[in-house]
Amino acid sequence: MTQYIPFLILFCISLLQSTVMPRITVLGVHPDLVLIAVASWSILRGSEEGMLWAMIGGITTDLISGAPFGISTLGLLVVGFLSGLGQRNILRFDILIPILVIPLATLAYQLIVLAGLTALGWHAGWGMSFRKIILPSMLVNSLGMPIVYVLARSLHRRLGREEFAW
Amino acid sequence: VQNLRSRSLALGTLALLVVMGLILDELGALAPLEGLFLQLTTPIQRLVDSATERVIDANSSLRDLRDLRSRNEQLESLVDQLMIENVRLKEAEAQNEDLRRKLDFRETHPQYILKAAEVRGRVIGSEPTNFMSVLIIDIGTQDGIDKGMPVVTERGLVGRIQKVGTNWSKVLLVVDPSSSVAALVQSSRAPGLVSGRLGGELMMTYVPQEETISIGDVILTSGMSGNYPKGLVIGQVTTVEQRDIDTFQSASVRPSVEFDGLETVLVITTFAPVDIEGAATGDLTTEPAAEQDATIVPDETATPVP
Repeated sequence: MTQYIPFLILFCISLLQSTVMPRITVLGVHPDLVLIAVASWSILRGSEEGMLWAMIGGITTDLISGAPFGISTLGLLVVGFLSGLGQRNILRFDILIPILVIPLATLAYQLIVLAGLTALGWHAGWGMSFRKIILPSMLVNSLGMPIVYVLARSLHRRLGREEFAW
Repeated sequence: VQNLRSRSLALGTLALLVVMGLILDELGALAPLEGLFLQLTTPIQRLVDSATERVIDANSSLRDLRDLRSRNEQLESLVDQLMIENVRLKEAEAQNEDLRRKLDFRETHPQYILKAAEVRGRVIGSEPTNFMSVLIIDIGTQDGIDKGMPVVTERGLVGRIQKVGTNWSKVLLVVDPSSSVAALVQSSRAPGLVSGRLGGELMMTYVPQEETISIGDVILTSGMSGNYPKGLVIGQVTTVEQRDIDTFQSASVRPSVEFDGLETVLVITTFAPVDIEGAATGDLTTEPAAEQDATIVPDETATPVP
């Protein structure tokens, strides 16, 4: 039963993303709590659980979002998959790893979303999007990562190694 | 008998001593002895008296404390009630002010039927992607809301309904990059196209070179293209870009609506938008704008909802 607690937490994080995060603007963007949480959990528990988190976080986000349904889920799935790859137990507790991973995860996620939006007729310009959204987001999410990662690590330790199976 | 005699003797002696004492006291002869006694006993008396006083005070304080505590609880409860009442009154005052402004807007735009909605989740710029500008309101199809309906506040244009559910709607804000509005400059009537930019900015483009546009000019919806009614305030010009080699001028526009602080909005339910999809992509050349405009006839017979 305890293995379902993270999903409840992730659902709450998704709601926070649409209610609290809009009030926090740094460098013109809002920290992406769902993305950071998915990347953190994936680093700690591996790709399998990371992708499950990505599914839940992505679907919730897509339901709230004005973007076409599925774009966020797709982006987060890729983040969940990539962040959990190649992580060995010995590295999972090193705070440097997530700080290095999150800018790349943000870049991958934003590129997927921007490509999806562009393909569906939404156009803000790639150059402008890079300058105003993607680069600031990479920095802002890196700043938020240590806090979320430490909390996720604490939850990971409490739950033990009982991993969720698909 | 001897025992009785000795007891009587003792009684008589004591009585005699008492009588002598009375006489000596009357004569003032006992004063030094009395002084010495009192001198010795006064500190002890003070001590005892003080202790007694403290006990009495403590008892009294305890009683007072109980009274004070009870009184304090009553006062705290009263303060809580007053605070709640105060918050409620302030909220009512703010709501009253807000509704008064909306009523003013309604009275100055009697041709539209307006539905008021509370912003349920302020999601402007809160998209997970940070790319889009959308907010969710708490009215939907059950309130007569339909896709494409314009959303306004008393300050001006907010956006239009993007998606509708039974009791919710998503509003695509006018500052979203996918949003574009046919506009005109209020003073010179110069036409143009206002579109959203990343970061909550607006840009007015396609303003003919021969037209006049200046900083501070108010920009209104022109009604062309069919996705918004005519005459709604969009914003104010902050900078103008005019180069002789360009075919058109452009200008940065500051939105009149403060999107971050939105609490309630109005949805114009009597306006029938035309060719929403075409207008959303900013492709104004797909159909003749003038012809589209002809179809935008706000319901003149409609009466404002009380």
